[in-house]
Amino acid sequence: MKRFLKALLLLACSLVLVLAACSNNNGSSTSNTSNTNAGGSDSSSNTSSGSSSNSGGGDANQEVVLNIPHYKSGENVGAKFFLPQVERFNQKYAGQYKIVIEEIPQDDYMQKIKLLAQQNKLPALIEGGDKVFMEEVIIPNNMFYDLKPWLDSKPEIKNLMMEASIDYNTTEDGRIVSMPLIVQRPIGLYYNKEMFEAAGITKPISQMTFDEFDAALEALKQAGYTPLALMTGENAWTTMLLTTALLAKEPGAEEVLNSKDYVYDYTDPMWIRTFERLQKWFQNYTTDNAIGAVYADAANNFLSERTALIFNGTWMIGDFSDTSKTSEGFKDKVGTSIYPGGVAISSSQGYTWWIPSNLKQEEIDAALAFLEFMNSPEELEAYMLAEGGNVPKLDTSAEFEAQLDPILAELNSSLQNDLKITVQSLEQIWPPQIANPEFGKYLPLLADGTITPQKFAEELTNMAQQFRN
Amino acid sequence: MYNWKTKLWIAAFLAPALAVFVLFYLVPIATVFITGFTKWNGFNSPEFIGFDNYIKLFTYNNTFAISLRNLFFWSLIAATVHVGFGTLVAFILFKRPWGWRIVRGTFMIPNVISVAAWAMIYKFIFNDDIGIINNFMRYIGFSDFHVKWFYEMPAAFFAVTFTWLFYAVIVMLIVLNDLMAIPKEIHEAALLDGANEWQVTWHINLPLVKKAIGTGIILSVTSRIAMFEEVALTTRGGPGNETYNIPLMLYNGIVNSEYGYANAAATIMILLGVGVMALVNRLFRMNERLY
Amino acid sequence: MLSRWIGKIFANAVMAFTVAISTFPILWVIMSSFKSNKEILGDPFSLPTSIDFAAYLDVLQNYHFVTYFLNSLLIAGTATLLALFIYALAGYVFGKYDFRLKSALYILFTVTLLVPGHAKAQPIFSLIMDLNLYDTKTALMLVYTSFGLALALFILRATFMTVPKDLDEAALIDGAGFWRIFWSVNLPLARSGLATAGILMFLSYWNEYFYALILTTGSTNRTLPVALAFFDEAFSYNYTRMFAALTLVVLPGIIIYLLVQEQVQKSVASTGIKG
Repeated sequence: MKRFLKALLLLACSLVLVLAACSNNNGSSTSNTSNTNAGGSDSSSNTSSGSSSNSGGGDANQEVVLNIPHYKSGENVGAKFFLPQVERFNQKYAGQYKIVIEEIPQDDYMQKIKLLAQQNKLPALIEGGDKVFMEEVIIPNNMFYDLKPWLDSKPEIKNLMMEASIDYNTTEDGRIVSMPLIVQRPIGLYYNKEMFEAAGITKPISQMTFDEFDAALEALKQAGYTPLALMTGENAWTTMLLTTALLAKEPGAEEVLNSKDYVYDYTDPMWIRTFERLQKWFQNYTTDNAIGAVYADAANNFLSERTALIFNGTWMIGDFSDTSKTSEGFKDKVGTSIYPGGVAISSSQGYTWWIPSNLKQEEIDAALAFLEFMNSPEELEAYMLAEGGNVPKLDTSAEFEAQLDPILAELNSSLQNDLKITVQSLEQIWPPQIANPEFGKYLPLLADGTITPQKFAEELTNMAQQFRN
Repeated sequence: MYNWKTKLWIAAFLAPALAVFVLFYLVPIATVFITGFTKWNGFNSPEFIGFDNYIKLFTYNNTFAISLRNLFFWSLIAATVHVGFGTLVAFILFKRPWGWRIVRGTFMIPNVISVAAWAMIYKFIFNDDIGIINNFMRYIGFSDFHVKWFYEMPAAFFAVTFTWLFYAVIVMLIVLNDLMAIPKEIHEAALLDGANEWQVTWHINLPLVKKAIGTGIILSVTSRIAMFEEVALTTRGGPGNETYNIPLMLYNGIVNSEYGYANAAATIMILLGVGVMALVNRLFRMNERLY
Repeated sequence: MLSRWIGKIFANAVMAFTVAISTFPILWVIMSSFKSNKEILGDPFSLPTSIDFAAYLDVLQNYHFVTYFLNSLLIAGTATLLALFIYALAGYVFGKYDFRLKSALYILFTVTLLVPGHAKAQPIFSLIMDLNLYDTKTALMLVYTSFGLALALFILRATFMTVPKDLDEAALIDGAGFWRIFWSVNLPLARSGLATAGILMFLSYWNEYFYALILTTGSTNRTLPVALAFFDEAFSYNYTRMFAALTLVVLPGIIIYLLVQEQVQKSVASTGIKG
């Protein structure tokens, strides 16, 4: 007994020392089993305890399970379409491939991916990546799977892609980093037609100048309606869109907004003028709870008819007929348009879905199968029906046209008739720290007048330059 | 003194704790000190850049200055109001009034709840729509009371302060324990000499618990230095950067993969903590024997 | 005797205040969790019109709550046991034997109390990554075990010092070896100190947020405090569910505490005094 305990004790001591001494070793993980790649490098996908087994040694008969953390889950607005799509994929490839989504809040998604990248434990499918991360970490260290050979073998998909996006995603040596964009989804705004009528506004928004729009907001206010659904929490999304639209019509702004690189300086007068107008609108034309509001609050404000307008993208359409969020028949009251001045926000620049480089072959196959599935004509049509957008090169089926949501149709016609400028959103040219949380954090100070638009611009510029490499 | 066998056992018994210390304290702290002088993003090897991180921390913009300002005021408030309140409660409970056990019991509850949960609860308490504070103010007549607690200054500073201000149970327990350890003879002697309750409290008890109060100050001020959840889960350092503190700067460094920068901030936190302990020790002459 | 009266009123006011601020926030959350969203938005002070557990069931069933609960339990429990073992060994030796470097080591160990846990975030993160333990429960168990160093050592050293040397000597005469004296003679008598240290450590591990946040991802290994942050986004403005989730996260800690109240009070105070 004595001997045994003595041995146990020495074992306990040495265990800790051994753990310390070994590096780069498959440590004693109790809940995760990590796969080792045939090549010897660390694995990328974690298996969750319980559900399905992971193919250990390349056994082709076992189902390949991909565990993907993603924010389009739970209550996130993107989950409405994404989760059923994953389900359809799982059904189509039942027994062969299966994708399991792990919930992550949208705010934390990129950060988690970065942490996983450091650990060489990237999941099999990743959506997006900010410029700095992709161009200074992923690409130079060759941590991505080159999609070019696969895309070349799938001309039916490649031909649908927008040239500018293919360009953006191709490295200097011709490798393709992430899936180039197929669907172009301009972001516009939604307005409550009833309220606009009551306020006597007849001119289409996309044909107004911003001064006329300003007058319209005042008219709404006089008629007793709160015009705008703004927010400052999270990434201040709706406010950010508004600011983009305000900026877009300033001389010289279009070029800045369409810049390929991050913009770090906001002290030019065109920014200050924009912030001035933003300050005025924040003070006069929005709800009391805009300060501190998160996306859900802003959305709720529009859906429960507390505001007349919300700046948001086409993925919100599903909410209009969701009776758990809004009243019956609300959808009929909703109109959509691009921004005053004929401004539309859209971009073909940016990284979308990509695959890490250290996967096993069957995992790569599974991931590619999903990418192919997502970009099949049926799925593309389903996507556009649910979240809007259009694919210039796709001949859409008759069913699609018939099913097309009237609101989406309205947006399309607004685009066709009144589009003058297309710009990227501020979120795309701002360094990540500014987009979230800095812009949102300084907004309350701007909104209640504690700082001037000038100071606001200076503070943001300061913050932007801080971690600039 | 001991035979070699015993010495071996002693060593073996110390080994695991020593291993923990080396792995989780010595090495990390050394890393923190050293990499504070490097530029490092976690992927490439650290490159030595001298005091650049510190210079950047101190001078880049006013965030560090604001953090220090906040720390100064929060520490002041902690050392006075927070510790003061804890001491007050301790002195009151010392007299064993009716219900003292209930007070002692419930006072501990906020401390057994995760700080994260507590911060979140307070986020709701200060919420303008549904929170008790604003609704209460509107109820008693300030119908226009719409202070956005976490989004305006100086409201944000005070809102964050309130989440920990009166929750001084640890201080209370430490002081109470010291109070109970005072030999009864001293009290009896004083009462015999004609002192009244108040004089006993003020001139005898208070000085005798100096050490406990000092410990309380050390613990509460070092908590302010390291306070993270209370700020990160409420104001995120805002509005603007008005409620920033050093742990938040450290966290930013990690999130932006600027590990050298983050560790420079960490070094400062450690030095501040050590400094506080040395200072309080000095001020309170805590190493002296009192009786 | 007016001053006496004032004194008493003042004392009672302070006590009432203390109880109020300690319990009211939680009571409000619990009460609100039974109200519908409309009721909450309508009047924060009103009592719920009905006791509706729907939100609780929702959280428990649809949001992996049980997983998080078990994770927290497993991690905190294992870390506590491991820590108790390691620090009992060290505490015993510090308490009962003298050796070179004893005071130096002891000072080193207790100075760790001054180091803010968050300051070591990055090196510990790298260490866990190097050990290939990212996003595992083991990582948290190890990291938490290290947190208890100073505190447990304080308590356990003091505890072992109270075990009379005579018992050791008697056992020695009876032929017991080093280990035997520790395991069979001292340890059983140190029960209260072990319990105290164990409870304090368990509670702090149970509530830990920062390291759980940076060392895990996804819901497999998530603990309760981190889950809260996720619930915050997931439940957005469905306050009822959020409050139900808060209650569920907060309640286990309170219940555990209420069960072991006496021990906790004594232990916290005695640690402080040594500081």
